[in-house]
Amino acid sequence: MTTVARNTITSPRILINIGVFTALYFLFMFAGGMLGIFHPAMMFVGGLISGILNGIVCMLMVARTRVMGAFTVMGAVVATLMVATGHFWGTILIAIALGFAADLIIRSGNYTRTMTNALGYAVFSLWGISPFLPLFFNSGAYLADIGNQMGAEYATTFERIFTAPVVCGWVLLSAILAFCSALLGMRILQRHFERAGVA
Amino acid sequence: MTTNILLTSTDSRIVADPRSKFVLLLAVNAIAMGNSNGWLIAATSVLVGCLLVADLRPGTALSYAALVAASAVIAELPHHFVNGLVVGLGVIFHWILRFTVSLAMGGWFILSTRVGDLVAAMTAARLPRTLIIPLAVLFRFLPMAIDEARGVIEAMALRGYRGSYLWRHPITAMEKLVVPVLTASARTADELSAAALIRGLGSTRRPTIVADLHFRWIDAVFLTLALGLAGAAMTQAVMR
Repeated sequence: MTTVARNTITSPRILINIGVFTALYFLFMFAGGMLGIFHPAMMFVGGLISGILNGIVCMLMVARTRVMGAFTVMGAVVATLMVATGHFWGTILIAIALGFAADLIIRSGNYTRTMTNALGYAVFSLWGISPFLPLFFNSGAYLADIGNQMGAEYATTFERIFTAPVVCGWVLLSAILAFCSALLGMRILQRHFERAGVA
Repeated sequence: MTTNILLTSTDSRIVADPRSKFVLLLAVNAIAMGNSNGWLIAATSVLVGCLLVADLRPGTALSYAALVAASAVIAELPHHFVNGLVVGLGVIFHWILRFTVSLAMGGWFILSTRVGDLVAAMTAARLPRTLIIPLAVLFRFLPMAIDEARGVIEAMALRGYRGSYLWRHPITAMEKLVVPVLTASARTADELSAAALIRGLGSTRRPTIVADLHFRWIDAVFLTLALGLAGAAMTQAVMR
């Protein structure tokens, strides 16, 4: 007779909950990305909106699962879908690694501390950069190709745009925004879900 | 619309194992996102074009071909005219070309693969249950989540939370959208897990696969193509 362990990552109840919240995560991420169709600048607004919405989604997921590995699985599933729809293949590895880091952080706060939960979500959200990483790594080859013909001047100018400071700035900005949206998520969690007994 | 794309396959003409399709997708992805160039990227874009022609509407393939050709021309321009604007455009279209190839391949994979077959292939590939169950739940739940969100947005509009209200109070508007959607989803998650447990999802035995998965000649073609592309990309990287 096998007994089903209640609160581990392999128990079906936990996995189904992760699946449901990952679906919502994917839906809101996609809806935010769709705004980019109207205007490229709207892509940033869309990213901001979906970051805030998903902060709330993820905080409810943490409250309902409280297991080590929830973000790892969420990262793996979302990244698998991203790669299956044609985004950069390295996204899978990066999302799993960041998800695991987020799990460690959130576990250190026993899944309930606001600060560690928010920090975990901020770390997890950084995977959103990985589909764009080829732009940073591989623009050099194209520019070097042009640089051969017309002197390195243009090439270096453009290479400077696509390098370290830009990536770091982006990382920092998205981490701060994700942190704030997770704080908002925790507030909404306490205000609506804990009282209603959903969390 | 989205629900149809995710749940049922279109009448796709190429019947192949999702596993070999995914291997081919990874090879195309690595080439498009890497720094291989010249004939290899051209060959890859032609291959993706052929898959689109074979499986999807010709209109889709036509706009794909137009976009790829236009981007290739613009990305080539800096070799002939040299100024800042042209180089900037060149970089942008260099990437538009690559993302078009990769995303078109992804679109083909998603549109030509039934969710049931995908899950069966993942089970057959012995991927961990911790990955398969959430993915299967996601596909099952996504249409419900879309319906739920649409319903809440309609209800909000009915009570006057629409148009300029959304821009003036974005955070409150988001709260009014997310809280009901999440409450309903949490309830659905509980119902789903109860139903799934009764159907034996918690058991440790591997489920029997009903989908017809076996190695066909088209799988051999796809795997050969993937190997060829990977080999060519490596040769190109070594030669540089």
